[in-house]
Amino acid sequence: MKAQPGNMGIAEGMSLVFITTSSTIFLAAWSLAIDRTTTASWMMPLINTCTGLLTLCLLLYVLSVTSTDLYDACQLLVGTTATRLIVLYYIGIYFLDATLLLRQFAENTLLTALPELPFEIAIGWYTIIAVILSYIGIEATLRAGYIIMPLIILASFTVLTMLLPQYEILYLAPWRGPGLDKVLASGVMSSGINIGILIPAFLASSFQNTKTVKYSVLYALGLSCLVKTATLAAFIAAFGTGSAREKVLPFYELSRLVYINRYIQRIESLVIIVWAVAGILNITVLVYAGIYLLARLFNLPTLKPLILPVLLLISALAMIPEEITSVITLHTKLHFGLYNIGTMLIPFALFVMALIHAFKQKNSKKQPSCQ
Amino acid sequence: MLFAFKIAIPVILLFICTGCYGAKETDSVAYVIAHGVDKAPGGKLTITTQIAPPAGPGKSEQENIGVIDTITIPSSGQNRTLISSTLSRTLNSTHLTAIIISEEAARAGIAPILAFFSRNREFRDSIYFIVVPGSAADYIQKNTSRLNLTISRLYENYLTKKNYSLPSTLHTFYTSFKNNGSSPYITYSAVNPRTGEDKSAGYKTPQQKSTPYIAGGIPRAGTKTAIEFLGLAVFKDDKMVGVLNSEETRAVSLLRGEFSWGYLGVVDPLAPQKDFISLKVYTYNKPKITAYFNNKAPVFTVKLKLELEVLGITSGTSYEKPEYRRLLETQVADLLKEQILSMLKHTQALGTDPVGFGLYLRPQLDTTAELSKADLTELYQQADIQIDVTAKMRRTGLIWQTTPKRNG
Repeated sequence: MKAQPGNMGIAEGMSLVFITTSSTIFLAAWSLAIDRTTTASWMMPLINTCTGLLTLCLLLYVLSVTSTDLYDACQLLVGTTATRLIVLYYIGIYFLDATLLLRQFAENTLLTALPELPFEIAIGWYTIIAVILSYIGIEATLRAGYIIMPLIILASFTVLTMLLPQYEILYLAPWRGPGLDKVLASGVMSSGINIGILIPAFLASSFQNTKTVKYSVLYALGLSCLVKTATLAAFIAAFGTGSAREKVLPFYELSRLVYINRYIQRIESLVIIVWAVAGILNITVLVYAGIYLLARLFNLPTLKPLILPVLLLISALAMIPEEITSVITLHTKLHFGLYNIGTMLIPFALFVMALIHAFKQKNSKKQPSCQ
Repeated sequence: MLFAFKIAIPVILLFICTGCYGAKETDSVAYVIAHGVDKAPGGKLTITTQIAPPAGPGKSEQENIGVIDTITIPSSGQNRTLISSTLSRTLNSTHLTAIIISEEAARAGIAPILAFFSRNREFRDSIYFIVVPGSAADYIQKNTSRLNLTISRLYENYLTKKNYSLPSTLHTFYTSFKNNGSSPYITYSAVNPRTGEDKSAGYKTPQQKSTPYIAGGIPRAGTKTAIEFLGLAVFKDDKMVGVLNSEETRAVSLLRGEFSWGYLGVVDPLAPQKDFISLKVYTYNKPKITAYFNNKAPVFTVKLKLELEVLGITSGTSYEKPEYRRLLETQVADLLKEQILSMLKHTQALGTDPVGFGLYLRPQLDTTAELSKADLTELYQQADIQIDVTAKMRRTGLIWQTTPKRNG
C-alpha cells in the first residue's frame, strides 16, 4: 500500500501507546471507576497494565510465529472471513473511541476554558487539526507526541507535587476498597481502556522490528500506568471518594485545586493546553489506525482520500448525543465491556491459533525427516 | 493539490482566529469580591454581592468597599440574572474571595448554597467561607479596613491565620461534608460593637491567664476595624450546631496539625495569684493520633509535642534554669491538655468532629461497605480519647537567665 507508514522506532511507538492509554486521565472515566472500586481505585491502572502486558506477550508470540503484522497474522491464522470480521471490529471501536473522545474533549474545552465558544466550532477545531495531522502522517504525529509526552508527565507530576499540602492520605482507607477480589475483577474488566496497545501490532511492519514494538509498548504502558496510578491516588487523597466520584474532569479539578499562595494558583490554564494537545493526538492516532485498517481491508492503494470524509463523519457523529452524561456513561461501559474483546479475547484467540499453527509447522517439518 | 491545501489552511485559520471567544475587556466586567447569604422569609435567600471598585482602591474606606447590592431571590442562580440586570458590566465571580453566611442560614443548612458554588467553574475551591452572627449583608456593609487597600486582601490576610480562628474553604468544607470521617467547620467572624465590653466565652483553666472569646466579644473600643475573626462554627452534616471559642479553636488547630506557632499566657506556677509568663508556642510536626477498637468502642491516643520560647516572666523567677524549667513545661502542657479535653467534650456533646478523629478509624475497617454502614461521628462521640501533651522549652528569648529582684 502506497500510504504504508515509514520506519518507526521506539520513540514513535512509545508516543503512540502512551497517548492512547493515558489521555483518559483528563476525562471522567476515572470518576466512574471510583464508583466501582472506591478507595482502592488507584489499583485499577496497575491491574489493567498487567493484563495489557499479558496481551503484549500474546501478540508478540503471534507476530513471532507469523513474522508479519497483526492483519496478515490474522489472515494466516484464522482465514480471510474471520480476519475481515476482526478488522471490522477494530475499525469500529477505533472510530467509536475517536468519536467519543472528540465529543468529550470538545465539551471539556467549553466547560473549562471557553464557555461562550459555539459547540460546533469546538468540534470543528479538533477535527481540522486531526485532519491536518492525519494528512501529515502517523510518523510525524507520533514524533510530535513524543515531544508532548514528557510535557504531559511533567505537568502531571508538577500538579501532584504542588498539591502535597492538600492531601488527606486517610481518604485512601479502607485500603482494600470494596474488597481485593472486587478490585481485581474490576481492574481486569477495565483492560479495555488500553485498546491502543493493539495499534503497534497492526502497524508492526512499519516498525523497525518486533523488538521495537515490544519495548515501545512495554515502556509506554509502564509510564502510562505510573501517571494514571499516581493521579488517581492523588485524586482520591485530595477529594475523598465522596467528592471525587462527582467530578467530570479529575485532572482539571486537581490542577484547579493548586493553591501554594496567592501568587502560585490558577495554573489550570497551562494544563488545559496539555490535555487539549493530548486529546487531539489521541483522536488522530485512533482515526489513522481505523483508516489504515480500512485501507488494508479493501486493498486500497492509498488512505489519504479517506481522511477528510471519515473525520467529517466522526465529527457529525460526535455531535449527535444530546447530552454529555450519556457519552461519559457509554465510554465507560465500552471500556469495561466491548473493548475487552479487542484487548483480551481476540489476542488470546489469536495466541491459541498461533500455538496450533506453530505446532502444525513443527510437525510438518518433522514429517519429511521421518520419511 | 498540495499547494492549494497549503494556501487553504492559513486562509481558514485567518477567519477562525479573529478573536478570543467570550473575551471581555476589564472595563466591561464587574469582579465580585464577596457574597453574603442571609435567610429570607418563604424559603428564599437574600444574596448580597460586593463588587470590587472599578477604578481600583479608593482614598476613603467607603470607596474601598466597592459596590454592594442585596437581592432576595428563591435560588442562587437567579441572583446572577437579576443582579446582571442592575449592572451595566458583566458579573464575574472568578476572583470571589469569600462567601459570608449568616448564622441563621448556616443553622438551617448550607447544602442548597453549596450545590450552586461547587458545580460552577467560576467559583474556585479556594474561596473562604465565613459564618457571622446576625446579618451577612450588615457584616459586608460594616467591613472596612484602613490596613488593607482591597477587601479581598483583607479576607486573605485574616484567613491565613490558624490560631484563634481556622480558615475554611469551599474545598475543605465540601470534602468533609461529602466524605465519612470528619465534620465540616467554618471560620466564625463578627462585627465588634466597640464599646469596650468584655464578653468572655467559656471558662478558664487554673493555668490559664488569657480569656476565651468568640468573635464580637473582645473588649475593644475606638479602633477603626469593626470585624474580628475568633472561634469556629461547627457543623453536623450541613447544619451548624455550635460555636467553639478561641481556646477551643486553637485546640482544633493543634490536633489537626494546622497550628504552627502562637502566643500563650500561663499563670506563674510559683506565684499563681499575681504573676504570669508569656510564651511563644511552636509545633513542628502533626500530632501522632492512633485509633483502635476496644470491644467495639473506639479508643484514640494523641501525642502532641510542643516547643516553647519564653517571651516574658513577670515574677523574675529564673524559669530558664533546669530546676524551674520542668515546672513551666508542665504548666503549659497541662493548660493545653485541659483546653483540648474541654474542646473534645464540647464537640462530642454537639455531635461534630472538626478534628477528623473519624478518619483515623477508616484504616480499622476492612471494606468500604463497612465504612458506609459505620457512623464515624457517632463513634467519635462514644470514644475514649487519651491525650498526651509534652512541652519543651527550646529558647529563652534574648535573656538566658533571670537576675532576681534586688532587695532593699
